[in-house]
Amino acid sequence: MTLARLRAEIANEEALPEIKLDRSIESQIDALLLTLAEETLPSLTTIEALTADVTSVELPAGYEVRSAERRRAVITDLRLHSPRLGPLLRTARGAKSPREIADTLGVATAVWESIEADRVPAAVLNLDPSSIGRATDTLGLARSTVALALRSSLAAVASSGYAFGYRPQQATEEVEPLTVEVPDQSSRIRGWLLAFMRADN
Amino acid sequence: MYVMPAMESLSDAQLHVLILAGDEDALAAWEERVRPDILRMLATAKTNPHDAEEIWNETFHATWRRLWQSPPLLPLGEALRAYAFRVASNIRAKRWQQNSRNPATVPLLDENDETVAKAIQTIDSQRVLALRRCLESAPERVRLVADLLMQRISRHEMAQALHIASTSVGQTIARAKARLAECIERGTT
Repeated sequence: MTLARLRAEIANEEALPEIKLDRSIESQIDALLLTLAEETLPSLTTIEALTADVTSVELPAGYEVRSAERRRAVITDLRLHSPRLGPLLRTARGAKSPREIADTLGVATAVWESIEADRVPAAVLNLDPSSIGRATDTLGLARSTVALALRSSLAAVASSGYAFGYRPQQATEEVEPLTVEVPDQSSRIRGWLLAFMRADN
Repeated sequence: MYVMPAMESLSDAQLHVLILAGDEDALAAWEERVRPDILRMLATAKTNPHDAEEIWNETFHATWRRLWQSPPLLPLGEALRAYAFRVASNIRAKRWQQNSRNPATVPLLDENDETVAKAIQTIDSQRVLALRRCLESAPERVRLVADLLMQRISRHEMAQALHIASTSVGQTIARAKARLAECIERGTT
């Protein structure tokens, strides 16, 4: 039913005789509603009723700058508090063998072990998102948790300089390996994650 | 090979996945979608711009703190908008109670009311369950009134949300509560 129709029904009730509700009954209902409110989300109709006919508050000047800072703080918090992918997978695997999981994914056991060891989390991006999804579902992991952990591990490994692979020192290099330009992987990660979550449906 | 669509074309649930993965652009896109409703809700209560930004700030952090504290428990998609909305209305109600006892900003559902506070202490889970069932089977208008009450709104906001006069708010609420009380009694006796 539309909000307009509900409003009309409520307005029609105004013609009904007045009712007097006992105060103790009213308090009981209030108490129950307050308790239920802790675990209930507002319906879309409720949100519409509270927002449809109102002009928004104008935010103070400089809001956009402060807003960008807030977003950065939230993303930093996310990274600081997220589990790492490897330990998450290792713990969830429990008594199953790495080979068992690797077989379901159709990859070499060593690949799965390197992911579990958090050495090359980016290797996950080379695997089929829906297969990984099935594997993590089997391990009882929510996909949102896996997504959170993947980014946490990628960020940690990226800061160590081995973001998307390991290139050993070459014989021609005397002291340090040559600097390798790491391409921006954000689009690839986004695409993979969207496919990973889509496979959840 | 995965092609990345534009942020605007992504669903709320897709944005959340990217946010989970630390994507700041996705978080900005989510904010653009959710903030307007909350600011409009705050406007109904005549919240000043400075307070509105503070409430939005607290809402934003509280919503996403919940994400890293327990990602599987946070609702995804459109439900997260509702979650943020509820967080904002709770924060606003707390501020009202801390800052003043202005009758215009006292939530219609007021846990500081002495008789309500006493009733909360005697609540049992069976009655909460009964209320939940009664709400599910109640007419939509009763559900709407109850849901609005649960957002801790004031009399003025209730009148504006339902398009009724402030003087009719008391009777509208009383009818909804009477219906729920009757249903609960039937269900628990």
